[in-house]
Amino acid sequence: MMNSRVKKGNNMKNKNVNGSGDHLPSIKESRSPEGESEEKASVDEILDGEESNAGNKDSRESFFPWKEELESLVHGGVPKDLRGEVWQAFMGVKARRVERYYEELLAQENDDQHSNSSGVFSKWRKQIEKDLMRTFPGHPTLNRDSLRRLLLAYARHNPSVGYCQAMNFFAGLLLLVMPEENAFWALVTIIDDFFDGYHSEGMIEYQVDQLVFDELMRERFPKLVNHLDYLGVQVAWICAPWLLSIFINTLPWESVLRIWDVLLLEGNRVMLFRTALALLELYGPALITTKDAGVAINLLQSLVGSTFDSSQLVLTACMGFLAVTDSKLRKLRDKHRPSVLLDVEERTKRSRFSEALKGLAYTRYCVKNEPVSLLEEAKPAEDLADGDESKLESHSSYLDQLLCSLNADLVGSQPDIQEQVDWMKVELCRLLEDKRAAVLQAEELETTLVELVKEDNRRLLSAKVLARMEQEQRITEDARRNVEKDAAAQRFAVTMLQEKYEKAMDSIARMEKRVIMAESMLEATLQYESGQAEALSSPRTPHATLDSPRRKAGLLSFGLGWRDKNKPYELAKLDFEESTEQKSDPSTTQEETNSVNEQTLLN
Amino acid sequence: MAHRVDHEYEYLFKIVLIGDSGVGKSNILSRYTRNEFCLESKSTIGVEFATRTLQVEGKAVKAQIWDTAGQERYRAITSAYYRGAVGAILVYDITKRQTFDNVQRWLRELRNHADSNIVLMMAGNKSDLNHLRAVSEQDGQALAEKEGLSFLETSALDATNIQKAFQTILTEVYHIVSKKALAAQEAKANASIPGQGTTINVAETSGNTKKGCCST
Repeated sequence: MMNSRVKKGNNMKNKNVNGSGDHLPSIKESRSPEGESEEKASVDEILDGEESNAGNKDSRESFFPWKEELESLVHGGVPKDLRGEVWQAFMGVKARRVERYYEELLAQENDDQHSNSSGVFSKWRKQIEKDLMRTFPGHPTLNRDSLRRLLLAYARHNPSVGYCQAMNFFAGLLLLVMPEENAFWALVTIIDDFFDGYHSEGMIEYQVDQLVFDELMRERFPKLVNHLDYLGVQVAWICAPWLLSIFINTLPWESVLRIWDVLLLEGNRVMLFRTALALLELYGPALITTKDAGVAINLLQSLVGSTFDSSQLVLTACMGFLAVTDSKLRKLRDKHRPSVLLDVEERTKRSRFSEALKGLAYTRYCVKNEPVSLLEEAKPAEDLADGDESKLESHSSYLDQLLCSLNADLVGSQPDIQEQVDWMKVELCRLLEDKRAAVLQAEELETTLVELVKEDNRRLLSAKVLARMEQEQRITEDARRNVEKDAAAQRFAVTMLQEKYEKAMDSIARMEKRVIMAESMLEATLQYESGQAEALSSPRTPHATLDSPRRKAGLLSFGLGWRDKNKPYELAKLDFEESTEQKSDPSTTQEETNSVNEQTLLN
Repeated sequence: MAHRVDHEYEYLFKIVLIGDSGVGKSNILSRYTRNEFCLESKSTIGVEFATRTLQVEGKAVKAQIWDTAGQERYRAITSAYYRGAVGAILVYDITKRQTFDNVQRWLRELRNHADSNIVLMMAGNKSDLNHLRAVSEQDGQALAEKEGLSFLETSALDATNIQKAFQTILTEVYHIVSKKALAAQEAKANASIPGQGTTINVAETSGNTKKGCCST
C-alpha cells in the first residue's frame, strides 16, 4: 500500500521531469496539491494507520519498513477479491483522479461525434468499435459500453496515443476488476506512465524495448539465441505479443493476473522483461530441440492454452533475474534509442504515405523526453540529410515554436494540439508532393537502371558466347594442328617405307647380279667339265653327263621362281621354253637365260 | 524465403496475411490451418503464426503463414515480418468499401518493405455477406488486373475459396521458385561448360595423337 504512494511519488517526479511535454498541464498542476490529500484518503481507506507523507523518494525506506513483506506477498499473488482495490492503490488511482475530468472527456467525445469533425478521432472511433467485441470475446460480465466509453475517453485524454490495439485488452481487464472511472485512471497510469511511448504512433519505445530484450536475451541465453538464429526466428517475432499486450492472451489468465500484480506494484516495465526472460528459461530446453522456426514459434504461441504453473513463473521471474533492474533497462534503452529513432526517420522518409499524426507523435515524444537535445540533434542532422534540409528546418523551427508555447503557457496546450494537427496537415501535403516527385524520379531511375542492367546482361551474354566461340576455335585449331602433325608423321613413315623398299630392291638386284655371276661361273664350270669329259671319254654314257647340268639349270630356274609372280606371262613362257631348249642345246639355253636376266633387271 | 529441406516437406514458403483491421485475416488463417472459424475472434496484437503442409504439383510444401495486426500503427513493427516472405495475401472486406480503398496503401507498404519478387494475391473476404456487399466482384477483379495480382473472393465463414486461395498463391510461388532453381542450375551449367569442354577435348586430342604415333 505504502508502495503505491511511493510509486506515485516517482510518477510525479517523472511528470515533473517530463513536464514540458505533458499536454494536460492543468491536470498535472492540480495533481500535486490534490494528490497528497487524495493519497491520504486512499491510504486511510485501504490500510489504516499508515504514515501518509509520501511523494519523496528519498524517505522511501524509512517510511516504508514493510516493503519487502509487501513484495513477497504480491509475489505470492494478490487475493482475487482484493485485486481491484490493491491495483488501484498500487497505481495511486484515487490520488490521480480529477473530478469531472472523465465526464468532460466523454461529453467532448459526444459533441464531436455529432458534429462529426476531426479525422483522427473518427478513425479511432471506428477501430474501437471493431475491437469491442474482439476484446475477450464472449466474456459474460465485460460491459462493452463501458469499454467503449473508456477507450474513447482515453483517446481524447491523450491524442498522441489515441487508440492502439492492445489497449482494449488492458481496459477490458481493468474493467473486470474496478469501476469504470477508476479503470480510466488506471489505464491512464499504465499507458502514460508505465508504458509511455509504447502504444503511440510509431511505437518507438516498444521498438527500443525490443532491442533491449534482444540484448538481454543474448546475454542470458547465448545458446538458445544461437539456435533461434539458426532457425531464422527473430526475437521480435517472439516478444511482440508478450510486450505489447503485457502477456494478455499469450499466457493463461491466472499467470497474467499474477504478472500484473507485480508489474503494477513496481510501476515500471522490469517485470515485463523478467517474465519474458523467465519464459525463455522455462521453455528454453524445449525450444532448443526444435528443428524449424514454425515449431519453435508454435511452442511459444501455445503457452496460452497450456497448463501452467504461474507461481513458478513469477518466482523464476522475480528471483532468477534480479540483475534486470530499472536502471539497467534505462541505460540499455538510452543505448538503443538512437538507432530506433534513426530507423523511424528512415522509414518515414521511405514510406510514401507518412501520416501527419505519426510526425506529431514523434515530435511530441521527442519534446517530452529530451526537449533540448533533440533541437541540438536536428541541426547536425541538417548537414547530413541534404535532400531534406527544408523539411528539417521547418521541423526544428516548429519544435522551437512548440517549446516556446509549452514553456510560456502550459495551459494553452490543448488548442496547441489542434494547431499541431493543422500544421502537420500542411506539412503532410508538402511531403506528399515531395514524395510524389521523388517517386516519379525513382521510377525513372528504376527504368533506366533496368535498361542498363538488361544491356549489361546482354553484353555479358555476348561476351560469354564470344569466349565460348574462341575456345571452340582454339580447340579446332588444336585438333587441326594435331591432324597435320599426324599427317606429317604418316608422310614421313611412307617415305621411310619407300626408302626401305628401295633399299630392299637394291639388295635384291645385287643378289640377282651375284646369282647371275654364280650362274655364269657355274655354266663356265659346267662347260669346262663337259669339255673335259668329252675330251676324256666321248663314247661313255652321254646320258649321265647330260643329266647333271639339266638338274642344275632346273635348280636355278626354281631359285628365281619367286620372281615369276612379278614377271609377265611371256617371261614365264620363255622360262619354260628355256628349260625345254636346255634339254636340246645347253649353249642356247645359257644365252636365253642371260637375256631373261637382263629383262628382269630392266624390270 | 523458400528453403529446400529434407524433412517431411520439400519446400517451405512463408506467406503473410495483410489488410485492414477486422477484414478477417485471423479467421482465414484459422479456417485454412485448423478448419476453425470464430465469429468473435480477438484482435491480433503483433503477429500470429500457423503452418500447414500441402501438395503442390506432387511436391510437399509447408506453408508458414503469418497473420499480422491490421491497425495502421502496427505497420511500424509488422514490416519486420515481411522479411523472407515469398507470398502475401492482401485481404479486404467486401462489405466495407474503406478496406478495399486501402488496398493501394497496403500494396505500397509491401513494395516498400517486402521482397520485390513477392507473389501477391488479393482476397475479398466475407463473400457470404452478399446482402451487405459494398465492393462488387468486378471492382475487385479490375483492381487486381490493374495491379497484376491474382484475385479471389473468399469466405472464412463458409470456407469458400479459402483452400483455393492458398493453393493458387503457393502454386504460383512454387513455379517461380522452381523456375529460379532451374535457371540457377542452367546458369551454373553454362558457366562450367567451356572450362570442362576444353580440358576434355584437349585430353582427347592429345591422346589420339599419341595413339597415332604409337601405332605407326
